[in-house]
Amino acid sequence: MTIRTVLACWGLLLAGLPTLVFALEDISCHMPDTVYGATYEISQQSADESPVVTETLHLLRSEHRVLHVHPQAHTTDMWERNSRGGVHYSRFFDEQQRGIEFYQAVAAEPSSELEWDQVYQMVPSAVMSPASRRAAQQQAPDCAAVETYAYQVEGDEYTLDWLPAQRLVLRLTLARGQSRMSWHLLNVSSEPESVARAMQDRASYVVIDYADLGDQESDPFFRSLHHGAQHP
Amino acid sequence: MKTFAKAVGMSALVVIAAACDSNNNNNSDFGGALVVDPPTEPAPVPAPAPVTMLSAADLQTNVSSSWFVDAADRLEARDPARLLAERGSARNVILFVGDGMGVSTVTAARIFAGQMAGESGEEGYLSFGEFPYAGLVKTYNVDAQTPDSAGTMTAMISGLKTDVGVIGVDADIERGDCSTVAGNEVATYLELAEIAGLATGIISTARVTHATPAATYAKSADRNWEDVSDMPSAAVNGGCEDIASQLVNLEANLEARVPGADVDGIDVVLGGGRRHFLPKDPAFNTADAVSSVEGDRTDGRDLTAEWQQQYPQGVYVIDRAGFESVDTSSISKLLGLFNESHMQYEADRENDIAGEPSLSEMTAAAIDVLDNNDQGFFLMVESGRIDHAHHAGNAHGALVDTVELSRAVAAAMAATDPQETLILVTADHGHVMTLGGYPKRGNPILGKVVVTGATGPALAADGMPYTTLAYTNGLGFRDMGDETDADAAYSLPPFSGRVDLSSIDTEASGYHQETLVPLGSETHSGEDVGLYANGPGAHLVSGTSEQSVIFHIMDYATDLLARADAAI
Repeated sequence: MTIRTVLACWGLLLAGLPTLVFALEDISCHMPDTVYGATYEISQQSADESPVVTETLHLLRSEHRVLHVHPQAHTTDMWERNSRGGVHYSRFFDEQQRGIEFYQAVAAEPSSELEWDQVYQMVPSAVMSPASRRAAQQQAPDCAAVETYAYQVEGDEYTLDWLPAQRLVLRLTLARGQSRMSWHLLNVSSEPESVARAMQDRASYVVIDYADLGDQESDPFFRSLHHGAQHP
Repeated sequence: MKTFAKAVGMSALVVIAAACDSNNNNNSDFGGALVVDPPTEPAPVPAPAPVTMLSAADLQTNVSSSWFVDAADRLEARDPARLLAERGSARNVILFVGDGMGVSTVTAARIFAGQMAGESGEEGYLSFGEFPYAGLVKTYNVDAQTPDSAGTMTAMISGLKTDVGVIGVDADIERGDCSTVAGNEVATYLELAEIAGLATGIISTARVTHATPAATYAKSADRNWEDVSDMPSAAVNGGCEDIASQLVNLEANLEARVPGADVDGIDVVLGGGRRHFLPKDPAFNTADAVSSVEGDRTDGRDLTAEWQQQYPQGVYVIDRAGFESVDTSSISKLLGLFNESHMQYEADRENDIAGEPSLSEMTAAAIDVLDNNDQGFFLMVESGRIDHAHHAGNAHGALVDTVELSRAVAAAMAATDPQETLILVTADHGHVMTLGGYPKRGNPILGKVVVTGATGPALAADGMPYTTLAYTNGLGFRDMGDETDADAAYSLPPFSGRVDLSSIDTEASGYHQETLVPLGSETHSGEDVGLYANGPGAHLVSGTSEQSVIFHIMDYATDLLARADAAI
């Protein structure tokens, strides 16, 4: 299972969100050198003009561990990179205090760096090419530099406002036909212990391997997972 | 004996006393002499008498169990004269368990193996298919029609059926309740072998703390208590010990439980599951770590170090290179933990960075170590990932692992004398994989059905091709190409029903068969499984037996209970 697959399955490519009218505001002027945590508002609007759906994503990251906390869904996805470059993925179900992890057999796939980018910074570095670069600006000397990119992936149009020094998305917009989806940075954390604290919060969870899911009939939650509920 | 029986927690052990007269009260009284040396001349056929003698005082739990009595009666009825004459004639016992290796898996693997060798497939045999004796085994647990590995392995290794999900305890246990363990522990064949002075070993391609291997040495109210971090605080505070710790502490625990016993711990342990032996601290990561923090233990204990301290002469290895460097002819203790969690699927093994030995290589090495003990040995070998591949709905992975199990059995046959070694091959339960349609002879077992006389795939009523192998339930169809890790299937939600397979290579390693009932994981099945036997005592395998009979057959073959009794 690749990270890309996981991302696709777990909702980062949701179908459609509205483009946020979002000035490159002053958050770029209050940016620490190193960002260990970021909170995004994710908005989506589908083509049928149904109400905009918004949710929150907390991105917590250290050099080798990244968590995506989805408070509305009560789930947390975690990726860990080992010393060989392999990636280990787990999903926590925060309400039920359960977890399930996937042991990857292939330690270092050729695309793992690209995939790690998608987890760590939510966009692959490869999209930030000179060809896709549209602008670069810095609101004030004390503000962080912001680069703007526009690119297409499989027909979907992306617009990215990027904080290169922080390796952080300021705003990302995806347009697929009439559907829109966007990620909008609300705040950041310069607290290096963010990841450790989040892990400590989940230290007492009951965590199993995917391979063992079929043997967990006695646990009501895992049984519900086994029967298809909340499956990734 | 009464003391011994109590001491080892033998609330459910049987004492096979076939050599004893049914009128001899001593036989039903553990205070008397239990064992009569095998006669040197053909003995008269005994009158119909229980081959298995139970003490009402010591075995209250099981005396009233109808399956237990029935199993004993059936064992006795099979060949009482030979039973008497050949009791204790086996020096060694090797028990192979293909986890989830139901009959359809055996059949499909046999065909698969033949086809991999360029043959039609159906006419071939897996190694254990050529054993002279075979029978069927009923697998249900006391509280479950379709069982799990914990209850079934406890039945095989301790001689009694118990509940689903519990390890080394009888059905009086309440799963997950530590306080119900005390007094309900049962002795295992491995423990008796230890007491009797035999060398012992366990091998698993799953974690060595997983249900099947754990049932050989541990007592646990929950199969998931593989390390201390898996246990609720009530269980830890209640004095229950996690499974990994019990593995390392077997010597001390068994000697404490059985006064007078002098054991030396399990001699060979090979498999996966390092995470349950290491502290949750990156400082203890091995070079083979997958997670950023490999260990799970929250009590700070490094059980690999404790094992090494306990057995300074022992060799601990974590990868193929270390495994290959072991001088198996001279050492007496070997611990190999080759993966943080389960070992790789055989189909995926070459992708392991640090390298893992195969099941057949581990089996051969284990025998080489164990046969250094002149008292004989007991070895349990589990092919643990047949089960996992099926759970993931990937027949290819299950068949490749089954074929490797067949190789491991062949390796054991080559390394032992059939006159002195009883080899049993069985499964703990089956899976809901079916083998059907009307494919022609030699049709690829993983392929689409092509009927006799035809050259192209047959079409179902929906106008689409279908495969010979399919699952009743589970994750369902996936076309993952040449993926060899069956667990990759969990990245997608369950999908039931039909797919147009016309342009899909269903023989590819990453193909996952269609299913009817969508579930997050394919399930075990409840039908009987095969039991194949070769060597002294093998003739007791026939007909249909309860799973717990396997213990009695092994005990009969080695006269183990008497030997254990004599040793203390």
